[in-house]
Amino acid sequence: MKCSLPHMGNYYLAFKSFFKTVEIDYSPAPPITKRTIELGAKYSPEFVCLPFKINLGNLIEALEEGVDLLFQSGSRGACRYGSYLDLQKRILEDIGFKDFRMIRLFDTTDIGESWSQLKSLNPKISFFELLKALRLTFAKINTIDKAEDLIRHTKPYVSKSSEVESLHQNFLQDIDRTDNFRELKRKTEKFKRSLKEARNLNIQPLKIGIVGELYVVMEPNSNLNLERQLGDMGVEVFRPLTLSHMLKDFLFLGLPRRYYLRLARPYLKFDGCAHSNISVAEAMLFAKHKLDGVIHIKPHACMPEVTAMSALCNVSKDYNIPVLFLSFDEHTSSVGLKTRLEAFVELLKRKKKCT
Amino acid sequence: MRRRIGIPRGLLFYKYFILWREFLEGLGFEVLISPPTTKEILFEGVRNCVDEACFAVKVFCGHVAYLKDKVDYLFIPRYASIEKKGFLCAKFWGLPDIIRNTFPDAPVILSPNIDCNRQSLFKAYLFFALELKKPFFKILRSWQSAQNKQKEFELLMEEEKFNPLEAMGLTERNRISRRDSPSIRIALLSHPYNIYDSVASQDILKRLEDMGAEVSTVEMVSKNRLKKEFGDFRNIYWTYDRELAGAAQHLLKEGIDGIIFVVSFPCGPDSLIIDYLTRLISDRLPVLNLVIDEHQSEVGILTRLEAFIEIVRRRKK
Repeated sequence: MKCSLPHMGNYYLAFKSFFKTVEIDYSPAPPITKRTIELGAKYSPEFVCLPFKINLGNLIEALEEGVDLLFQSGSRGACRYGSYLDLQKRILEDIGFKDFRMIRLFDTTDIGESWSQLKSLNPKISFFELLKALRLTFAKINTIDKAEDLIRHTKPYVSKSSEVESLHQNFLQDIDRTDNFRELKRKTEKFKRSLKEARNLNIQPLKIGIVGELYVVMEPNSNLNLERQLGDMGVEVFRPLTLSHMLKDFLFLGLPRRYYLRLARPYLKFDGCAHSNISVAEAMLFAKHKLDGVIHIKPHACMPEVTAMSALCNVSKDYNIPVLFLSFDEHTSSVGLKTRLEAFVELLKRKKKCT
Repeated sequence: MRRRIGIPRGLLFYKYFILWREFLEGLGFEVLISPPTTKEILFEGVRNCVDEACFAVKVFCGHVAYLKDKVDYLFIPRYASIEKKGFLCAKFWGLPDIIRNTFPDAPVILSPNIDCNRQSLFKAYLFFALELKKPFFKILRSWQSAQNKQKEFELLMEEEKFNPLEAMGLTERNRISRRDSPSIRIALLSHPYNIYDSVASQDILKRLEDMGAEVSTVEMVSKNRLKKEFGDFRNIYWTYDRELAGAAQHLLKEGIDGIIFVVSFPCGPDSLIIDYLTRLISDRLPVLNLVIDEHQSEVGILTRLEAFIEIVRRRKK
């Protein structure tokens, strides 16, 4: 039995080591291409959100490769994310795939259920082994996030951004190869040093913060490589929303989330579910830390982020910080996006010059 | 002087208006509701609201725009969930916030926080009224009468097949006499704010009745019956969509000739659930998916309805 799960950013590396430690056969879904998105959009309902479509495309391509066990995460809430599984399973059956199972991998509202599912897949696994696997996975997720963060803060300071990209690719391969904590730490330090050497701190780049819906923020293929495009334009990108950030929130029993809810209180009195309040709070923090602009991204018609949008308009007015709203679906063109980004960056540059 | 409180005619108005009116009047407010949707109200809503909000929220914004200069308070509760382990769409979670941010010049928005995963319905309304410094026994009394009236209202719909507006006493009860043509039974499944708003929905309900169809909606199925049908749909956690699924299941058993789903563009929960239901049902019965938004034309809807009814008639023969 071979299992697979949809992509999100580079995190498949971490999941790989998780499944390796708990001894379940895992092969990552084929990387997201244009075909993936087209396949997903073809079989999805008309105005469902973009993550659903890309996830479905991933699952279809994984099944074509001969995988017979699919995972889909998602926890109950008001957001659509939690009910992806049922419809996707039904769609895959309607397309004609037989002989596959689909399981909810990680349900934050029902941990016991997740444990028993895992136990049924590998009866030999002990709780201790699971903890070991989780620890390694968390370490890897953390490393991946740290590396990406470094890249974002290095790119505008170097003359050749392609060098940074290739360093990053090499580092990801290194992460993939090591299953050892000490090794992981050493390699991270090395990567950090090599990036620091390349930096030229005399440059003063524009600083833009990215907030929004988690999947579109974290998966570069869904937002048409927004971060890389900005980096190539010489913009320093700030993006606090990462998977390790979310895991920490979960481990600390939602306390960081409460902090954000409180921060966003002047604009959003109630919890608007998912990341709407956090988006607003982060935008406010960006404004307080004197960033030049904020980009808010979301899949088209994302329910919680629409609530955030109305509040962000007022944040923009009150804190005098420009906010660019971008929503993505399978029709978003890369040229259109580029034009808008260039215009926005140009606007910020002028604004900075005037003040 | 009695303070005037405004209730916009949109979204959950069609479900809980009676409860809200009785409760607020019991507390000593004068309740003002906005008129039925007109073209102007629709236009104001579309102009003011965030452009990616769903059509029903835009209509709601239009009603708020109409009311905001005429009242001292606006009553927009935040409905997060109305049962344990069930949720409402994220739009309802943030509705008061959307309105507050869209209309910075709006009067004070009063919003009880209804979240049955945290506290019961009664507690939510109690705390809300206590915050307004109303005496405890007055709250209790008005809550009691509001609950009774709400129950009567729901019974009227379930047993006498009134539609919500008729049951509220806002429109005359109007049943057209059955035509000679063989009557067909159509299930019109959607959220009440989509089908009972005659301008927003282009009068789908009345048009169907004019074509000689007998129309059943979710409100006309009793709550207990719905709960029985939930079994297959345990995984749907949006309460209203689960009710839709339950109603579809129940009406299928009762014997209907066709199902029409009305979805407001781009409704989140419906985009998944209606597709799921269509996949379940479409090999047994004719199914029509109608999407309504601010750009629709009257003729387009009419053509599709006529074609659908024609198909259903032929199939029955």
